[in-house]
Amino acid sequence: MTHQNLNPMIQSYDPEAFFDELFEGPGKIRANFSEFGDKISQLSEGELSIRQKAADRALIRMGITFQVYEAEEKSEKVFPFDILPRIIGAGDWDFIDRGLRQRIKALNLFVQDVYGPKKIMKDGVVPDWVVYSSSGYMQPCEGLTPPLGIWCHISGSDIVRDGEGNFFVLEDNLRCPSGVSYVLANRQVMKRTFPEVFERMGVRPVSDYPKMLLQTLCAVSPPTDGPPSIAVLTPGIFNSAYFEHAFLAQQIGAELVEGRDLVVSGGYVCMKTTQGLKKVDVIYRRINADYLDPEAFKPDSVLGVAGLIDVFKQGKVAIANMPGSGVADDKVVYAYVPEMIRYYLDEEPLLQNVPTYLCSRDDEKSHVLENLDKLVVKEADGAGGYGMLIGPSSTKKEQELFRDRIMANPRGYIAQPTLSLSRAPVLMPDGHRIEGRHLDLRPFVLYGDEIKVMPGGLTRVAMKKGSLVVNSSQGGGSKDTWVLGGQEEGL
Amino acid sequence: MKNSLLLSRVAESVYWMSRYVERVENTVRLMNVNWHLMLDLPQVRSNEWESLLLVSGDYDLFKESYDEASAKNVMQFMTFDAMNPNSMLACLTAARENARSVRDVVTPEMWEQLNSLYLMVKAYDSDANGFYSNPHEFYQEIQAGILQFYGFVQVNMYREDSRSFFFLGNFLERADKTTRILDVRYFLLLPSVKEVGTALDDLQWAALLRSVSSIEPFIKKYGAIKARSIITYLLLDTQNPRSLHFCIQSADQALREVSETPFGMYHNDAERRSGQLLSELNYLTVEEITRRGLHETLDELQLKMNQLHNAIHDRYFNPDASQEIWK
Repeated sequence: MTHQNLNPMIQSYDPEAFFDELFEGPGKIRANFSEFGDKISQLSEGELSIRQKAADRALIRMGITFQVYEAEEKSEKVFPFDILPRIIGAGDWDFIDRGLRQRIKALNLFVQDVYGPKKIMKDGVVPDWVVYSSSGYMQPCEGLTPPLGIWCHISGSDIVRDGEGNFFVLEDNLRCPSGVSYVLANRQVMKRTFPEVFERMGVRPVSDYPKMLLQTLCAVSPPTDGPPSIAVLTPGIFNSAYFEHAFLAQQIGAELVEGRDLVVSGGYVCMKTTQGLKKVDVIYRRINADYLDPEAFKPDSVLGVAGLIDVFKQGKVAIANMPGSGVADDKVVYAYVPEMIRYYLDEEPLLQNVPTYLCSRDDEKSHVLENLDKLVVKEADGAGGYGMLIGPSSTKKEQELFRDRIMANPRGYIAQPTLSLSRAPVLMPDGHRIEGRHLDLRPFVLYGDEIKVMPGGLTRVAMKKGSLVVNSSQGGGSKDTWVLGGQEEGL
Repeated sequence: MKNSLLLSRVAESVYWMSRYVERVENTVRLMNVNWHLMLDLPQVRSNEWESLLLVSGDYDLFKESYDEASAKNVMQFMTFDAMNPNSMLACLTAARENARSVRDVVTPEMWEQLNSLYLMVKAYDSDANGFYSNPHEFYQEIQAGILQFYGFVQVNMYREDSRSFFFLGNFLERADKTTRILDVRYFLLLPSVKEVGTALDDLQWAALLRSVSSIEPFIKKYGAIKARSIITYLLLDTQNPRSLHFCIQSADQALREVSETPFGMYHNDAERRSGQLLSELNYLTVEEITRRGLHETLDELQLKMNQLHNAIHDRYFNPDASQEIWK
């Protein structure tokens, strides 16, 4: 097809020196996405901005917000959404899918091993100190075996691409990864505002995620007469992901509960209802493991349920994700994941790690300290894009601050080379230009009776020019993620 | 045992969401009526604005941050002042927070309506819009917004226990406000009980009726405004949807929807107290009220409503953890 109506915005787009997800050169959309290119090119310039505004309005009306805390003021914000989808070809996706299955399998075996026989440590593949100093390691979980041996029921590993388009895992989230509700909402909004572009593209559906989540949770439930009684445990409305907790509970038909709604009675975990106490079989917890049970973990927690772990040990309740699973998403432990895959599965890792320098090793520490202006330094247990030093864009003062911190606590820091993260076009607020912005991908993996990978995931975009930080708490936005080559999703 | 499941916390939040919205409805009505009354009165005889503060019980709090009970100060305090827990803004904030915590039982329409009402009051620029010289339109808008919210409750809230707790809260709040307004206004307007029964040709009495409900049905049924008709209309009339009797009857019905206990019987303390109160109102007369004293009667009724609220709280919102488990 000839591009006669070629939208001038597309024509003038320049991917520059970066790997661009959509363009292979200036004004030239990648050949395997040409169908999308044709459709989008036929839209007039103003049309794109009209659709973007319609999408924004839909998100505000639906009240899809998250809480942010600034200077002790709390406020609700809408997660910025960019109307241009991030597209992943069938071949690339197949690779990611296989890589994720391999990775989660190994990580889960690792957690089971750590709290059990500790073979990997005894064989000297992962040193003891790495495990025991991980902030996610929980001593009270020693000796526990969850149903089916599954610790990480819901996980989300962050994936990035470098300047050549190679995929890397940046980090693994094995505690309570969030963002899946945005994936579902983005898709809904996309289909409403862009039906003619979406149609017949063969985008793989994401809408059965709630069904898969429910299956996963039911698979680990203790035996019950009828369907298991499931509760989503939230810290409450002040949590930044509260919307997601309410949304998921509604979608899977579970009760949305807070710690104060639960009580241990007669050997069971029960919800307090107007009709009395009702037994709970599976808890999908969205609070930190430390707070789950003041008797087993943090004694001053008011968010959890006293006695929960005892009930768990009696096999009368299942918890997803298991407390203690966080031991594997520490950034020092991360460096050993390729070794874990070889050790437990006897396979070569498909998805690569970003090369990681551990400041706890003296030679690597000195390398880091000499190259603070080139590397990205991260806290080993940091999250949300906080506590990071991005060398190339940092000031001397910031570098000195991190130098002191690393010297004081080498175990607490790792460093990685600054990746030239891939970009994709984003519609600018004026509606007349598209510009390249860096992005990442958080696919969601479910692990119950089997491993299920949601096609696509949450694509997060740094909305600020040149920025590498995609977190929503720091001005990041999102895009709908299309995985091509599947059965068509109905409108 | 019913099949539907309602968390105690969710029941409580729905109950309070409803009470807060109804509180705003009463306050906005009271403020608007009072503003119109001030236009009609030849000169200020007593400070009507000050008496409003007595109704809501916030006089002392008001005095902490304002000197004079001027129209502007009281309007500001009762409408926008976030430090006043009974201001419209504070009540809408509380109603919305409660709704947000139970978004799985509040329909999207209800949520969006409450959300936009809150945003409207929060963002309103009272100085730029000449609010203090003519608050009527803004007050009307709030009232209309609340009625639309009630419309959504009527037409699209699923008929299950959460809906019953909504109406339970709604009618108990309305009952509380009706008795409060009557108590304070009556005391100010008619200090001497001897005047009960004489015709009162007074704008202020009409304003009292308007601030609780519409005056037209009253005139149609009772004709001239007399103190005893007012007491009957606001406390005992079973057809007036804002009378105490009507409210208690509706609250009692909501309680029985939850437990499926027939009228005239009880299975818990909340039902016993609500049945008792309803029964008292069924057989109460104006004569007995005036013999006991209106203020004394209202005081006693208020006490019973508070006890009813506490019984509901103990039975449904904070249940005993030693109960039998429902599997």
